[in-house]
Amino acid sequence: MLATSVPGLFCISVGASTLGGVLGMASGIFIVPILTLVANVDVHLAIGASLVSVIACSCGSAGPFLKERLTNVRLAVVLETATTLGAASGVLLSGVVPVPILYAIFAAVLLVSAWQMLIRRRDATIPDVGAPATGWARRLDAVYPDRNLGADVAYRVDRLSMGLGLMYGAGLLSALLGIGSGVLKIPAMDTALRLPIKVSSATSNFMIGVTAAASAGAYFIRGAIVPEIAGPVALGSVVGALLGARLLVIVTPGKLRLTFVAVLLVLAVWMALAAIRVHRGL
Amino acid sequence: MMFSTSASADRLNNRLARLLVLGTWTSCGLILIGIVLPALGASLRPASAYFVLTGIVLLIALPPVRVATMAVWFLFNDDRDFALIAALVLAIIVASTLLGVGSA
Repeated sequence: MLATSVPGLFCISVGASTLGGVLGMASGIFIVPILTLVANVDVHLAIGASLVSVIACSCGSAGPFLKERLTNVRLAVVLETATTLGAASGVLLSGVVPVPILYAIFAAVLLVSAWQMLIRRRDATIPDVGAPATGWARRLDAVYPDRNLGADVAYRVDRLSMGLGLMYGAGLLSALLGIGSGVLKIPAMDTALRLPIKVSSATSNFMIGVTAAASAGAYFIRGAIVPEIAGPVALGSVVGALLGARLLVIVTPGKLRLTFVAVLLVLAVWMALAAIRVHRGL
Repeated sequence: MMFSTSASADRLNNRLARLLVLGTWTSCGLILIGIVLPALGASLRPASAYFVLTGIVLLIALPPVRVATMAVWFLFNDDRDFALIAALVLAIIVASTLLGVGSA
């Protein structure tokens, strides 16, 4: 079949990753549905390939964020204890969760993502209120350069335990579905920790690679990462992520927002139908 | 004091950026070679699979290497708490990977 040939997989991944890149989302959320629904790839192999591409995109794009001091590496390593533990739980679960349930969870994640896309993200107001002035969490506070102000802005890390809890869930979803799981990381970063959006995006992007690697190793040993699929998918995703970042400068995401909401909804319905179809054994 | 901490944090950031970008390009290069090789001749097919596999394994290893780099850096900069946390993350990644052995 053409779609499962190396050029076919490469092109599908470029498309999925460009779409994700324009939206500032990880590519996995598009790659797994398109690989399973369009290219008829086995869902576990699609998840394995997606995990590799998630690592590639996270590591490949980390450079500029780190150099501009937007990434909070101390906060990242603290939160990674929760995301990797979640990933380990996801690895255990992925062995026992039936495929129809997997499709259904994916459909739900797509729906929530569509909803998140509709409501715009905003910088948390008055981030200082509610955070204790002292304590261990203060060692995670940092400054980031704000281009608009032309100065360094100090920020505080709020409600760390709630953030850790959500990150555990994000890691679990990531390992189970092969996605970066921005769907849980965005509320964790914005609502619980109340970070400035740029710091939040950079730090979450930095963590995604480690989270995906925690489960990718297990998928690899299980034989769910097939070079013939994962290779072209990873390469295509990196190309797509670069393209998406370029396009992000040209097009205004605001205008495309509704189109993408529609794409996510279509994929959600399609995944839900696939869940029913697989469940009935058709 | 404040200045020196932020300057050393910048050094860590730059080192991590170099590691991640170099690692990604190396592994993507290997995968690309592996994908292109079969087009040059069927006899190159086994070698091409080896290139793709090496690229993928390198990619999966890159994030843990990044965490290990951070652990060592924190240790040498008298930041034992964070060195321990990074070591813990590394241990969880290893444990999570080993879970794949049990269920293979």
